[in-house]
Amino acid sequence: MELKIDNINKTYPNGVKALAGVSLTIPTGMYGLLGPNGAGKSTLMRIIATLQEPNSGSITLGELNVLKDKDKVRQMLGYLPQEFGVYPKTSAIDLLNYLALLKGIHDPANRKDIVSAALQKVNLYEWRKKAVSSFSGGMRQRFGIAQCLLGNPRLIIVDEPTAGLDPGERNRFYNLLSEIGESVIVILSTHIVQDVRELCANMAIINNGRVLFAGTPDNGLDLIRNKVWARQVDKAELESYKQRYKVLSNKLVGGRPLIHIYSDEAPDTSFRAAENTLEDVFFAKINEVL
Amino acid sequence: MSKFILFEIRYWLKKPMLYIFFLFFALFAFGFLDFDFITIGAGKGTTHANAPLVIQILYGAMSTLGLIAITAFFNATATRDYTSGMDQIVFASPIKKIHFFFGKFFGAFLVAILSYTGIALAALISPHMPWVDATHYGPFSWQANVYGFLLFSVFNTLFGGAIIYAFAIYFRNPVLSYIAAFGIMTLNVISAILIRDIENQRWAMLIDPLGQHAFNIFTRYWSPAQRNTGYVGLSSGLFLVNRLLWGSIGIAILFWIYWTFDFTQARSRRPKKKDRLMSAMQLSDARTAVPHIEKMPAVIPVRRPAAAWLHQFAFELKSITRNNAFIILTSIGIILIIIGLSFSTGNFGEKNLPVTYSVAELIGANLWIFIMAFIVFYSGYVVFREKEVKLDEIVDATPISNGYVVTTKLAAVLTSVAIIQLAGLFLGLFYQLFNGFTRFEIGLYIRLFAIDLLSFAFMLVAAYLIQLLVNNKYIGYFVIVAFLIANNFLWQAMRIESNMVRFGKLPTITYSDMNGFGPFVPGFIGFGLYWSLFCALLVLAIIGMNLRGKENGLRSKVARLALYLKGHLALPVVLLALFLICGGWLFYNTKILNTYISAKEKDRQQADYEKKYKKDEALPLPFTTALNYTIDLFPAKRSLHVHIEWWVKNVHPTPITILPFNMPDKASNDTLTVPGAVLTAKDLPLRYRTYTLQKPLQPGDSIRIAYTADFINRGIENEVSFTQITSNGSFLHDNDILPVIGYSRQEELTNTLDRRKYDLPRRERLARLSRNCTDTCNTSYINNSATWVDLTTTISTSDNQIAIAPGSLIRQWHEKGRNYYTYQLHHKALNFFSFIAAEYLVKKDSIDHVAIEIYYDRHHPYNVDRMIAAVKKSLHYYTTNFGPYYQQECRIIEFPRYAGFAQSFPGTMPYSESIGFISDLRDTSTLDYVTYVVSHEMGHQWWAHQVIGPAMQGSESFSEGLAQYSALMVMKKEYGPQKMSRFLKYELDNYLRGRAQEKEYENPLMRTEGQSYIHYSKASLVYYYLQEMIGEQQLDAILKKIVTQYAYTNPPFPTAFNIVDQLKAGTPDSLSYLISDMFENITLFNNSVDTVTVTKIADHRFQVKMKLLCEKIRCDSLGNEHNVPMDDYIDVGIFERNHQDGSLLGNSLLTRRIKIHGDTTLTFIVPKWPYQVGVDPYHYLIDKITEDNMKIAF
Repeated sequence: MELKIDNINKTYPNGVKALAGVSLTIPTGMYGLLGPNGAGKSTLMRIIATLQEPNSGSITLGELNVLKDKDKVRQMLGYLPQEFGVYPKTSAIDLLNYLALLKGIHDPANRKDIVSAALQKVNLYEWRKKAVSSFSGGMRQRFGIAQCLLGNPRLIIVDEPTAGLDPGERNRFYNLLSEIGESVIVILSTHIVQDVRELCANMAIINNGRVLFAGTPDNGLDLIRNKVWARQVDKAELESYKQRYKVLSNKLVGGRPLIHIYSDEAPDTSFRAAENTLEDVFFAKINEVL
Repeated sequence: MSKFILFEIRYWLKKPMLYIFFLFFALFAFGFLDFDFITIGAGKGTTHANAPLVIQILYGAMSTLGLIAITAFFNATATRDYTSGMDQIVFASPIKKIHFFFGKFFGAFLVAILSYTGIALAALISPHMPWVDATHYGPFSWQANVYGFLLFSVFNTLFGGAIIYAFAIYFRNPVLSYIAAFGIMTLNVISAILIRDIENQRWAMLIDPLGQHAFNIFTRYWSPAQRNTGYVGLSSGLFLVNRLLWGSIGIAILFWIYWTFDFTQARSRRPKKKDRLMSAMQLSDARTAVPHIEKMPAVIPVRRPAAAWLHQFAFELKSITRNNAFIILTSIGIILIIIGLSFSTGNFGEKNLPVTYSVAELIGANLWIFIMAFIVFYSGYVVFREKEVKLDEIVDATPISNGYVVTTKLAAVLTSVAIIQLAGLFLGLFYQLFNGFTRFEIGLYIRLFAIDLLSFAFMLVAAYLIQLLVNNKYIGYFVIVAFLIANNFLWQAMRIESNMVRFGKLPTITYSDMNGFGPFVPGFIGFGLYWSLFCALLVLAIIGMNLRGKENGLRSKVARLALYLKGHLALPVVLLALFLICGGWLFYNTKILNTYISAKEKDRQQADYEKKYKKDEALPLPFTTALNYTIDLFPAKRSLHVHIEWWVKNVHPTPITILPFNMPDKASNDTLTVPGAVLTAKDLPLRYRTYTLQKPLQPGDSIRIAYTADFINRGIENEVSFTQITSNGSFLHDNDILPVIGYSRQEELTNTLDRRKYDLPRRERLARLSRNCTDTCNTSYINNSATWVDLTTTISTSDNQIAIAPGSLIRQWHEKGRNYYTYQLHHKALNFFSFIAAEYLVKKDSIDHVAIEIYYDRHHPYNVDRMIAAVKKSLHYYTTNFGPYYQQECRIIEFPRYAGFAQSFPGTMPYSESIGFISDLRDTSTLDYVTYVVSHEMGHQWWAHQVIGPAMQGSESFSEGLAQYSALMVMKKEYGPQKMSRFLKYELDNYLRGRAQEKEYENPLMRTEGQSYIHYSKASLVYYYLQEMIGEQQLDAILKKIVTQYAYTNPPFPTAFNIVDQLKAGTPDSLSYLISDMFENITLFNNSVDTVTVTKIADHRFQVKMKLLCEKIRCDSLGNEHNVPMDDYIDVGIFERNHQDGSLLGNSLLTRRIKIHGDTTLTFIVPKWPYQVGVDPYHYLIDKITEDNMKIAF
């Protein structure tokens, strides 16, 4: 089963054009949607999750018309929004139970089992009777994943899931996700390039509502193989370098900028070959160097 | 601080809320001032539509509605920093607490009061609209507007705003401030309950936080003249105290919260223990190793729709009821009920036994507005709950159907309402038990509450739909309230009365212990079904449009709805079809099979009647001399058949050729046979027929007219119109079933403004009082074509009922499963009869050859013995002091509570089930209302049925007035002067309030014309005062003379002049001013004690010096007052303390009747320490302020 997104356009009533001609093919497995803040990732996620209508375009999930058959999509959907809240004073197990009910798991014993298993999978079982509103950020995200898993969804959409998590929590979160992603479509949107590199078999880069790249991370790396050079410069010289070369990124190291540039050949000996990372691909695309 | 204030103002000026509220208030005020369908503070009469007092009442009423505006503004202002998440940034910046706190408050305050200026705008422009009757408006009063604005808008915004703001800022939770708003509203309602009894009015004035009830009490006696020119300013006694009190409370709370408010503890308001637990959990969680991963169990694809729905419903219900807010709100509801029950007394402080229907109705009425507010509030809560906690995206992405979402939410709110009603039920049961009443009828509670719940369900659906469409909670609340108000008033304004049009309107239902829901059931079922089907369609629309996701524009809602309908066509189509069928059937029933006319159409008909037929008023009419009624009642079918033989005689000196008749409404298959006459004109809509006698009826000749008709109730009516016959409890007046001969003046339009609208000339309410009255005095005011008549009645009903007509029972038999009775009057009587039948128990007794019979419903045996005793007492007093009683029986007969009065017919006195039969007289300190009313109706057997005046001013002053007097004399024997004075205080209040609401002009007592506040209340006071001054025996002797002279008199009937002449003749010269003051003029007093000084003198005696301020005032018909010289005998008294009952006077140390000329200082010596000192201690005089007659000496 694959998710085919065809020429999706979305302009908000206030005039902001969020998506312009977005087309993607997403197979089973982990798919990373990479883009800076405001790129349009959340809008796309919401459209796929049946929460928003595009102005034009179509989306099919296998044989299903996603835009028209919303109910059928929801039956196989697990969605973790970028930001979510919970009812106050409701325990994790009660809220999961409620959401399981909403997802159509009517048999009470079955529902109990599923909720139990979900809590254990995200390691919240010990705290199941505590109010979700009292959880820490990481625990809350785990709860979000737990509700996502209810009902064995075939399409899972997680929107910026690791924002605000410490490294340990991020780790555990990825372990969970990668285990899930083996047999379903998991779309992960993020602005953290590292996440995509670690988890995703396929990816797309989005900015200003347009798809700048779609393919495997290796495909991406191919684009910049041996074409990225690094040099540390002085702050005063930064502007002139920006004018002379295609600067991809600049990072402060020990207080002085370290720039990466894109060039078919080594510009001069002061530059050394940079390690080929997905980050460079990202910046190359974002800054329209490639 | 000014920066904060300015910021707030600028912020709100950019938002629509201020302008919406301004417009709202302006439109509302405009509606009140320009359209006459809603009247506040004045009828359509001599009080100007825009009188200063009316304007001020408007400010009061708007500031109650303004609670919504206040809540919106202050809540939003207070919590803006928190809800936007900006709080920590704001509080970390260098601002001073005082500037922040008070700056925001005053900013919001200035904006909130600005919205009320809409009222001033409406007041300014409303008189100038082209469609108004300019004579009904007075000049613009800037004082009324300024003071109304100050005393209501400013103070209420200050108080309400302070509370809302303080709660919101301190608890950082808007919900608690909503509850505070509820609390304010509840206090307002409680105060409304308390003011009904004048004993509680001072407390009620202080408890009212919004001031409108205090205002109404303060101005309750203002005459139309005073309302048109006066306004309430700063010298307003207890009203001002109320304003200052609540204003100070508001300021105090504001300051208190200010002292305790702390920026730094902004975030962590949770108790420390919870903090510790939380961090423990988080720490432990962080240390846990990565878990063992297992596979998720498969989903078993079974569908259990019912169980799933119930679970979801339970979850929604819990989310409402497990909330502190709900518990607090329910408690408020319970308090409201308790207060409503505790203060449920009638007009005279009398109490009824807590029969289930009255307790349930009381609870329902007290809870009504509370539950409406509850529904409005919770409609917003359930619709936006997910969005507000930001769980909406997750929930919306689940496959749960909109049908489940919407129906579970609706059911949850409705169930919460039912829980409050259940609490009410338990309270009602407890209240009944507490009062020693055990006929609980739980099933009836449930049915009555269920009827209310149905209406609430309709409103809930409407509220939910509006919230969905508006998509903004605050504005949604506002629109819902506007809709509810418009739905209430707009249809009335357009004079549309069909229950098919006004949303959720069910026909009125009156439950009777005698008859259950009786005749109201078909209408309730029909319209209940109709509106339920309509609301079901609305629910489907809600389901179709329900928001899933982020597309909340109107176009996407419509698109969603279209998509939904395409997919689920069956149910909407079926419901629509059922709805249309139901509607069609109701339309047929209420407009074709049965018809009704709107009030406006009725007015037009009355105008037409006068225009077309007034000319017939001059025609000579034959007089009724005898009647023979044959009435067959069919209670189960609610129909009856009548056949009447009617002898009329020409008593005029000229022959009679033309006979007009007014046919009874609701008659069918009727035939009127006038021997020797042909029908020459028939006006069906106005029910007027004219017959011409081919051989004119000569003077002195008689003919026998025959009338036969059926009265049938069929199908469903828009409102039940003929409760005269029901399955148990039929009560017919003769003019319900017999045509009225001649032009009927009663059919004319009476209101002056209405008459002007239809170009009708000025109308006198009654003929002017005159000594030379020629034709007018030839008949009594009861009937203009009869004097005294003979009556025989044969009446039949089903075999489980007894039927009663005036007269002695001369034959009784059973035939074909029905009971037959023949009654005949023992003595000629007024042509004024009633016919009654029901399932009765009868208790019989007798006194002096007069049979006493009480016919009562088996549920109401409580006061039957007392009624018999009352009949005996009054009969004894009246036969001893007035004259003989000419009928052979006195019957008291119970009828259903569709009417709430008691009436007197010859020997027959029907009583409503809600008067007297269920009075609670166990507390002997309250007035014995049963004996009072029985004595009054018995009094009518002399005053009206023997001595009666013509259709002229003043006649009611002695038929009603003396019936009042008679009852008072019977009561006086039981109660003594002090308790009588407490009772008379209610009559005084009725009189003063009645004259304040007079729509045309007030008359002196001897010229009263249909003014019940005069001929009942003022007459009570005047006659009681008179007997105090000239002596009861002397007054009774005068009345005896009147009876001897005028009982059953032949024409001319005695006028008020004749009566007053007799009173003058029997009053000594020194007191003749009383007649002039009390009967011929409108006289009031203003007596009070200024100072009292007590000094101890030799041998343990005390010298009491009292300074009295006394004024005598004459009023003109509009209430303009001027002082007149005073030369009256008035009592002064010095009393001891009453240790048993502090509200009554103690033993009298000294009482003198002295002539007072005005302000005066008097000195007396008494043997014991005086407690209360003053003038007119028993309140014989009509005084606007009775509390200042006596003062406590210190």
